[in-house]
Amino acid sequence: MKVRTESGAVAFRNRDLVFYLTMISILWTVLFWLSAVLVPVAAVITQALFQDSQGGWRALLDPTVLSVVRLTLWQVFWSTLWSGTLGLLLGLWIGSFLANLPRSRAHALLVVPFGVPTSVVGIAWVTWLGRTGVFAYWGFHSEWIYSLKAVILAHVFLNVPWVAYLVSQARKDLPHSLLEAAKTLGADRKCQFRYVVWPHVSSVFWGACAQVSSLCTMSFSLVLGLGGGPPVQTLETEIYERLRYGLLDISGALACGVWELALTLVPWVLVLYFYSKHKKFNFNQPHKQVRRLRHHATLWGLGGFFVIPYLVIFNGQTPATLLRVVLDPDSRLQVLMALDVSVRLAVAASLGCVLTVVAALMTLNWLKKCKFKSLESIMNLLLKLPSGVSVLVLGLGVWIAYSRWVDPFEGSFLVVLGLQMTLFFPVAFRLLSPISESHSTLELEGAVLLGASRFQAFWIIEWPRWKGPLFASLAAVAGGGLGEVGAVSLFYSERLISMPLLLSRWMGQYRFAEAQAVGGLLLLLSFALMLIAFELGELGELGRLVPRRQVEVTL
Amino acid sequence: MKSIVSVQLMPLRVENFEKKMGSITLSAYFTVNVGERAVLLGKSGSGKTTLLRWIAGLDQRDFKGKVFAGDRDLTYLAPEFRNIGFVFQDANLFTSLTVMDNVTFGLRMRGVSRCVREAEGALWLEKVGLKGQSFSPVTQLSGGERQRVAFVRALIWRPQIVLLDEPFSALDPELRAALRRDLVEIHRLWPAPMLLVTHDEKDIEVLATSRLDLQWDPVSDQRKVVRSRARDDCDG
Repeated sequence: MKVRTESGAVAFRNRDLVFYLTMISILWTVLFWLSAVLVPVAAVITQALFQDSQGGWRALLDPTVLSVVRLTLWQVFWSTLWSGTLGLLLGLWIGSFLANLPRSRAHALLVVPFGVPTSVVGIAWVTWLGRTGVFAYWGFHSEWIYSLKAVILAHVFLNVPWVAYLVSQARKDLPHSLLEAAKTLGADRKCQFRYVVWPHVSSVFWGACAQVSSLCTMSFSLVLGLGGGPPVQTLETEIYERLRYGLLDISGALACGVWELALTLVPWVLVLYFYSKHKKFNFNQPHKQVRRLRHHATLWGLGGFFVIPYLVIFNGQTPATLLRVVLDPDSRLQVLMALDVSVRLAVAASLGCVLTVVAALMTLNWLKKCKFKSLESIMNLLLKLPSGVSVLVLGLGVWIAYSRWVDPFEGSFLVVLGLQMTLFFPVAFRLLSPISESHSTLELEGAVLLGASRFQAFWIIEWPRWKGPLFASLAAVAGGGLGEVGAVSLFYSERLISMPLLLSRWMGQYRFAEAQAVGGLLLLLSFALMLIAFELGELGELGRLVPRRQVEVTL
Repeated sequence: MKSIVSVQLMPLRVENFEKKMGSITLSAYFTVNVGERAVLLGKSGSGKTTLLRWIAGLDQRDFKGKVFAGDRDLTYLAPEFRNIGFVFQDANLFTSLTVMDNVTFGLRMRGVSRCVREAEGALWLEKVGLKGQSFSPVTQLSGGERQRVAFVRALIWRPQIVLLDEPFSALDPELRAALRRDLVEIHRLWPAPMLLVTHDEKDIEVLATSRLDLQWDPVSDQRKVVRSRARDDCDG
């Protein structure tokens, strides 16, 4: 109903604007999810299962495909086992003293490796393990390079700090008074761990393991760079090879895609389950914030240990090599073109992704307001689904579903952008959804009653809560987009080559020095973006797929 | 597996306790006898909880003095070896365990067999009207019920001493009254020396058999624990 007073008319117009914005958000969210997730995934499954008279089972059960599935599982098993075990031990140790420290920048070092572009990770490990690498120079000759061991080692180094970060956050959340209660009841250290600490961190730990196993299944450029081809062929590299490297074998790629979907979606369902079980405590007693040099030093040391392997790509020759690249017209042109593509992709993906997430959150809020509870839960779950789908499988789905409009061999910036937005959507969603869930309606109403306009109320009350996570999401997605290889690998053309792809190409052409030097630049850029993201937002949210249940320990 | 734990009750004795708290020194010298419920009264920030945590062994830094259970010197023992039951301000229940598992945790740590400890747990839970919720998760309990579980958990394993740190502070007045009665009831089952920290005069009326006050002594410029009143009608 229209209110004729001046203030009433303003209120009406505001409501109108909000209504239209909400409707546009709902439409955009639904369209995005249908076109970028459902259609491609459905295309892969239906084409794989019903592509011939035998229902596609022949390709699925092809011995070559099955041997690749076995090797993928083997790789994932060992990578997850080592990452989980070491990450748990480290996380428990760090978490036990983290509660006494103010938020430490050293803690960010544990998150940073997660944002290192995988192509750079590959180059770094080749530099360490290669036949003329650092270890060989020191006299340790190993045959690890271009083998499964190298892939597992790289995965472990990449994932241990992440598991440790998540476990340490959970351990930090555990009220010290619960351990004190157990002590007064006679529990020794073993019993304290068994009955108090482990029940609290176990769901986070198992969730992190499921996450790691899924990520190791989806690992593409690392396996491509360190696996050495056929001896270490996982589902990802097999899909890539069947689409863009050897003979075009769509049927085989689809069979691998279905297997990959099964292997990545199951862990993500487990992740959702475990995180929904995790309980967060509300403290009623503040932590003692003690600046302890020993603890800070430990954190810096540990964080540094997991970052240093990647710094090996910088050496005394790096400036000279960079200068050579800059002075050589051909190399300079290649780098500038790749940089242009990467930066455009990163900026567009981060903006598009964050806007889509905001639209999705507005949709969820609308469902909540309308009390469509079950629809809201289903939507919430579906929006997190892209985390469990590999970008190569999504790309394959886009290839099949939109073949009338998209020719992968011509390259498509828009498709790569869409794939990257889909890939990083869950990252931004997890960073922003906690802000959307913690309403400040009362404060907003209070400000409006005190005479603030809607815009002023938003600017003063809502914006300070949103800006940190918003910029953190932009930085995290931009950092991820800079190093992303999978989407670009499927839809590249000679005019659409990003930095990571250029590095892989130079590695293939034995231009190691140039690849190292340019990889160094990419590494620095990614580090900077990850640190910005850590500073601005709580990156622990990345490991959390659903809001943690609050458990009141106060009376 | 052992059957139920059996220890001899001994008085709690604190000797020459001293702790620097900023510019003030907190000092104490007192005894709480078997069956006695001593209430330690003082303003917020006066050091009541600090003293209690020191007795329990939870905080050992920068203290002087000794704490005894009878003749047994507890001063340098870890909390798990002191045999002191402690009820925290917020119940501090283990959310991963059921009500029964919480209540019988102390017995479990002392190697008591499951059937014995569950039988004992059922008996105590019946006393506080929680038998029907024995196997419910503690997250489903109300504030008062949680605190009852905390009382039983601290006493069921027969500790030599029981310490309570403002156990009623977060509860509404009706619930406080009911819980005070429950506490007296539970203490009858195991009349260990009990030291309760509070700043509520009502707690003294209902619970206290003796009263300890934290008072400032102008002569020594110290805040001292002073036994200001004693009653002979110990319930134990």
